[in-house]
Amino acid sequence: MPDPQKTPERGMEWRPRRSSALRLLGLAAMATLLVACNGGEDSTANTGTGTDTGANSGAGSTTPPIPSWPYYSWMHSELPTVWALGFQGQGVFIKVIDTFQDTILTGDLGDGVQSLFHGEWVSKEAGMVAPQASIANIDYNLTTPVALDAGLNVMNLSFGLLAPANANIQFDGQTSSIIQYAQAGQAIVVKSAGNNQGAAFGAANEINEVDRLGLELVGAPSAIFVGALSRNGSVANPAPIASYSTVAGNDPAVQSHFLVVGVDGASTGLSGTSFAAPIISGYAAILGSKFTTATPTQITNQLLQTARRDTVANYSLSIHGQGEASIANALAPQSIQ
Amino acid sequence: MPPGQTKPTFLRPVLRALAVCLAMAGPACGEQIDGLHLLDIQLGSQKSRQAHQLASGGYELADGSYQSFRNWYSTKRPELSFLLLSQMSQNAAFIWGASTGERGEKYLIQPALRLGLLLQNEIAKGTYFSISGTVVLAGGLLERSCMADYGQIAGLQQVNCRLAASTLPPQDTLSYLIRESGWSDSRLTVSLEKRF
Repeated sequence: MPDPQKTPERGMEWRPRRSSALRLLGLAAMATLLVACNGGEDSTANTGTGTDTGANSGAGSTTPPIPSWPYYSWMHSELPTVWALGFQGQGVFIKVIDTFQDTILTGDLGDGVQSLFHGEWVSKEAGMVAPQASIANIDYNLTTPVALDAGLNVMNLSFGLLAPANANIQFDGQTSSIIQYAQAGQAIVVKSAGNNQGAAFGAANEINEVDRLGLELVGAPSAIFVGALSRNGSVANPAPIASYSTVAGNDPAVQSHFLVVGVDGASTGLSGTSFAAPIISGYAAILGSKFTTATPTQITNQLLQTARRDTVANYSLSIHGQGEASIANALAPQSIQ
Repeated sequence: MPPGQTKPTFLRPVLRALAVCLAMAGPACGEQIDGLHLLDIQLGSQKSRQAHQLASGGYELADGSYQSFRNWYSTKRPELSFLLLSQMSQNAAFIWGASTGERGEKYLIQPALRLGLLLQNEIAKGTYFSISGTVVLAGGLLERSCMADYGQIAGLQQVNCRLAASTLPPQDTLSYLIRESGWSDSRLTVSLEKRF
């Protein structure tokens, strides 16, 4: 039985460091050289209200204090309005399991050009979406089980484990614990779909490998698979799937847990579904801070059931799964009287 | 009182003043009728405007349909209020009035009674010092809650209608319901007037 070797990858160059039956790959880090530092005025802090999906609590002093978190152009326009009232991720634990060595990417999430490790970017992005979530960075080279904190736990996996589909493999303690949490509904496990353009997890690459981590998570009640749109969508301007993104495919079990979000690589220099997953992790944390008694499975279902299809260009279940995640709709009631 | 003469009722001067005001509007409302002065009459109030300001908001529900606040915080019958002054002596007057209250789908302004006193004294030739106070009985602005259905994730919850889609936990939104008493509209006024 092969012993898994975890190897960080740079973007689409899936090159194993060691020859082994199981390789762990960064699925999504397609870093591009940053030509412009940012989007000019788009990247300045802005806490104003949003547009077509904006919430407005009305006037008066009978509203909670309004925090001023920085809003950047890569974020969905719903976020400022979501942030406008209340807390954002408080009491929720996001665990970013990733690589914090080897792979350095240069990008700009709106607060200046930086060169960070893949996991640092992922962690930073999740923290910008859910500013008050507690974020822990956990190296995916560790083999010890991930411990759960008291409260809602969200685990972000912006990587995959590639191995031959028929290989008999044994997951290490860390990976096994994450899979178990997803299958038992004990934590929300957010998994990047991948950047191989094909169907999520079922399709083998050119050397007959599949994402075994993804496959293990299929059917888990609190797992979410995240693909990338080329930008944030809106009803007036629906967004197409990103050219690199893995799609939902034809497996109903994948389709029912598949979401897409906009990844604005043109402005951030950071493309790939690696940077789609932490947006969903942040959304899950925001939801968890509102619905404090909800289970991971309930939070997962809320994100899946409130995804929008009218903001996606040429929506298809086999491509976009449940659609573009909408944090504003996920926070809102189904009806009110 | 001579036999056969009817006893003046309390309401008669008020009704007469109101009749004059409503018929002539504007400047006539300040005129004196049998020692009775109409100080103010208006449609709407500060609390009424405060409630109507809430109507400008809205949010999307989980299915993307838009929920406007317009119908929740508006009314076809805004509050009507009047304030009268009854002169009791050269230097004292009784201030009194009432308002009808107002009702919208998600708020209530209670009817109110305003009572007050005005005292005036000429402290030097042509110089008048006056102090007046009015208190408001009832007249509170009360915002009603909503029942929101969050489906599987949280079920039916009593919430602040305006904040149901915010990041606040549903039960926490109730802390932000408007609860303003009419007493807060009570006034104490001190003035010094020099007449040339």
